Amino acid sequence: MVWPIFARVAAGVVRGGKAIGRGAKGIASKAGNLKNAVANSKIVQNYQRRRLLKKLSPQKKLGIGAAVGAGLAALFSKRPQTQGQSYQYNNNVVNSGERPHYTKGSLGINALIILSIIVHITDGLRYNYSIEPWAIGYRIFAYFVLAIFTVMVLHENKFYLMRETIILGLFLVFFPALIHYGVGLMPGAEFAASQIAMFIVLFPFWTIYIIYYKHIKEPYFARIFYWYVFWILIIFLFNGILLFSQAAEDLPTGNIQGIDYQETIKETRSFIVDTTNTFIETSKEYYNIMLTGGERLVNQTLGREYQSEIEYSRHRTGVFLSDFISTRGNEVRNFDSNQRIILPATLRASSFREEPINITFSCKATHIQTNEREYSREIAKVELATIDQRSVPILQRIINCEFDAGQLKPGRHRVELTAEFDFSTWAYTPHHFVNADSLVEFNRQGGNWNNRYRIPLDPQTVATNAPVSLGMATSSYMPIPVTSVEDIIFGLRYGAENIISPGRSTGEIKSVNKFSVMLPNTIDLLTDTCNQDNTLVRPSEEIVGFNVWEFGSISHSLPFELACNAIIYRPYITEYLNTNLDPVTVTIGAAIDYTYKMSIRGTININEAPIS
Amino acid sequence: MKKLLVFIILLVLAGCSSGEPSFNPVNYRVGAEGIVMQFSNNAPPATLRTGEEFTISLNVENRGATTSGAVINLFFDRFYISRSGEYFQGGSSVYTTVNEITGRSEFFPQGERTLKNIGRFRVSNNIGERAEPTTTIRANICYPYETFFSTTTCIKTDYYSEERDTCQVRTTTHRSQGAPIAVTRVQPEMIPRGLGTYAGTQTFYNSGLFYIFNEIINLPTEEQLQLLVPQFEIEIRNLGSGDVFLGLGNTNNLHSCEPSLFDQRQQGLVAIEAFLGEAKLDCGSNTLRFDGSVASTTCTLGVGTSLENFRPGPSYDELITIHLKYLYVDSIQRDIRIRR
Repeated sequence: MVWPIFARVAAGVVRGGKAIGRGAKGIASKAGNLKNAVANSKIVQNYQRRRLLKKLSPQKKLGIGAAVGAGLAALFSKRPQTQGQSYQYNNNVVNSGERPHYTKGSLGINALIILSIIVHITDGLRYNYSIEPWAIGYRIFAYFVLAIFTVMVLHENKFYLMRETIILGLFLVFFPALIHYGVGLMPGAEFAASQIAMFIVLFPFWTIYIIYYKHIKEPYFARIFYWYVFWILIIFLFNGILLFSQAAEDLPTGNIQGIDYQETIKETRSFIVDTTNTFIETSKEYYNIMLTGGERLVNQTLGREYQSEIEYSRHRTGVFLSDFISTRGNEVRNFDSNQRIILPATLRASSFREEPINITFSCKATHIQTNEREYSREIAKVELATIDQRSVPILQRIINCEFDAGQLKPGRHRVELTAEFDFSTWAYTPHHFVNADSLVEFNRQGGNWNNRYRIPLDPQTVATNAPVSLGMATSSYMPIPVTSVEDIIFGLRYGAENIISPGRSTGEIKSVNKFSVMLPNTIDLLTDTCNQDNTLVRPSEEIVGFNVWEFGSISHSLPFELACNAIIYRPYITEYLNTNLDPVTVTIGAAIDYTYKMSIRGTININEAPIS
Repeated sequence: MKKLLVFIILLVLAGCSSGEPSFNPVNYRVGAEGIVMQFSNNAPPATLRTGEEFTISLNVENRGATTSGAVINLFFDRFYISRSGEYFQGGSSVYTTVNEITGRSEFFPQGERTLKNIGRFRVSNNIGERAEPTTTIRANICYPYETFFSTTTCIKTDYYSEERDTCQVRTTTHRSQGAPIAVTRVQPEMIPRGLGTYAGTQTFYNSGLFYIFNEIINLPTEEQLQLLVPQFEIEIRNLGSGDVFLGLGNTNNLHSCEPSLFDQRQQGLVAIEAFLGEAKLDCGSNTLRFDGSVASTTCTLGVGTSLENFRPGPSYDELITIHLKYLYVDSIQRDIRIRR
């Protein structure tokens, strides 16, 4: 009973031996082709052709390695290839004396599978990966041979399997990320996957493609290949360095030739992370600057103390006058002196507040030569009511600046339409509080809290769009450290200025009616430290748990400034004492209510009326 | 089809064989995570309207090998968000306790998951003139956890026993032990400590009458030999994204995580115990301080430890176990856009 098995095995061995010979010959031939290909490659010609040739020339070594796999492949293959048989591949039936070049080769695929099994099983048997030099050497060698075999498989199949191999390779490279973000598919998989990815990227068969790629005739494959290389580079750039540095960090601590490589890796990694974060944050900032017209950038450039970023949204709040005479360029409109003059302008007002906006309009014309002033008929007040809290309360109206016939003398006149209204600008500044003990310990360990939580040192104030800008000066860097043993005092400094809008309407503040600061009821203002008189403290009707601190008798000119110290008394500090480094964030709001006078100008020419 | 088959086989081979071999018993002390949490889908939603009420809930999962409870603190900017309900008194945080969540074990390799509902919240009705502010909700989890580490290490007690040695003293590196804090390196060193007295016994045979009534006598002996004391340099790493603290009284009970009892000054400290076989190792202090994400200490056999097992002779393998206790604190956050 046993003999037939032995016989079959013996036959297999004989066939295997023959196959080894054929395999060796074939592989040597392939290696020769590879050598020729390498020699013909433009890349090689351009990049140290001779050196590469030297590296790839030991075809005997390649042949021996491949022959072992080929022999094993022959043992496991169904039948050896024989002459005169028909093979079908891709619906093409080929009859020939030799196996056609593009038929599916059992040699490469079987050899690859067997070698994969050997590599992975022996790898797996060692259970815990060792980082001893011999183990690393073994793994590098094993995967390198695997990579060579993969190339051979592709070559054997004239790259018909390339697409699949590419997908497999991509999958393996992405595998660590997939595992990382998955829900623990298998224990230790993340580490195993990172190992695979590391070896695949370090010893990839696609580097051999680069030398070999001129054989890829099909543009479709070539396209895939380029995409492949592109994504590999991207992955390597954004993920690979971090991945490998993590792996390298697991190496024993120590110095190599006097360099603490672990520290270097750490620094490099944090540099990459910081640079990437900075790049993202800066991009965001510039994006916002572009959207908001660059007010903040202008402020920073001019060294202005009070900074804020105007909130960009599709609901641009404020009062806007446009489409008056001058907005049509430098064109001067002509009227006859006996003609009634109607000069329309577009008013647009938008606010989220529930109170209506009362706007009083007036119009005046000044004779440019005589400097005489003529006022138009009084324009009635316009009340722009908000429609709905949740809808976009934008109202648009045509406002007419009218002069009766004969009211304006012939000649050039400067016409000015003025709108006077009450409006308010709001500013919101997030304040971050963190436990002082945690912060000290974190700093002691060399950490950067602001980088970790992506919170700038200088709190970013966001102001609503309005004719007057409201900004905040830096008086407390973030985070504000908090301890349970003493009161916490930090500064608040606000400033308001006109927004300069070249080319559009201009204006000036007539009076600051009220300035209010909205603080959580656990934070008080030390009113005796304020440069303005506090008139009222009341609980906020709008925001639960907040108090509104109002300042009434204040200066009526801009720039307006308010500087105060805020305090958190000890009994209230627990709210701001976190259990960790995470900040307790509270937004402090400020609003300035003012009466604003906005103007838009144009020039008209009054001609003498023709005598009829 | 066959190509697809080949592809799948390769994929499976590449994935499976690099993990743990299937014939090994389940090693549940792997992975560098402890209790992790995520915001549930749409709780809170990514976009909310002013005045809208919403629920915050967290999926809490124990991916480590220690069964433990947790304390979760939720932080929100109360300018925009408040707790709903009449009893609301203000405040920027709310904390809740999660009952014990079973960790991974031989019989429960996945670890337990639970859904923790934090409560109902409400977006402020009036946020002034802002159109679409964004605010951040942070959840902070604190849980007591433990790391158990054990490995065999080679004990060499005689410098001149190389020919008879059965193992070699080597530094071993390790990945993770089913906890965010892991022992990553153990570097054994055999330190000569001069001459010492090894206490032992020697057996004598006292021949009795006609060699029939033989008597076995064990007599205590003392030998003056070269003392070799094993010493271990142990490296511990914080493999997670959070911070490590020491609980009250060097313990790691859940109460230590309560905001009123939590002691931030204990940041970066872990309690350590190490044993070589059954002998306790002296690590200088019971606590260990992290410098960044790494902490290291040297543990050696205490002066009073019996050296019976370390009599000079061929090297042999001995089990070293390290037990770490700590509180682990981690946090997650979600940005919320508020619309009118």
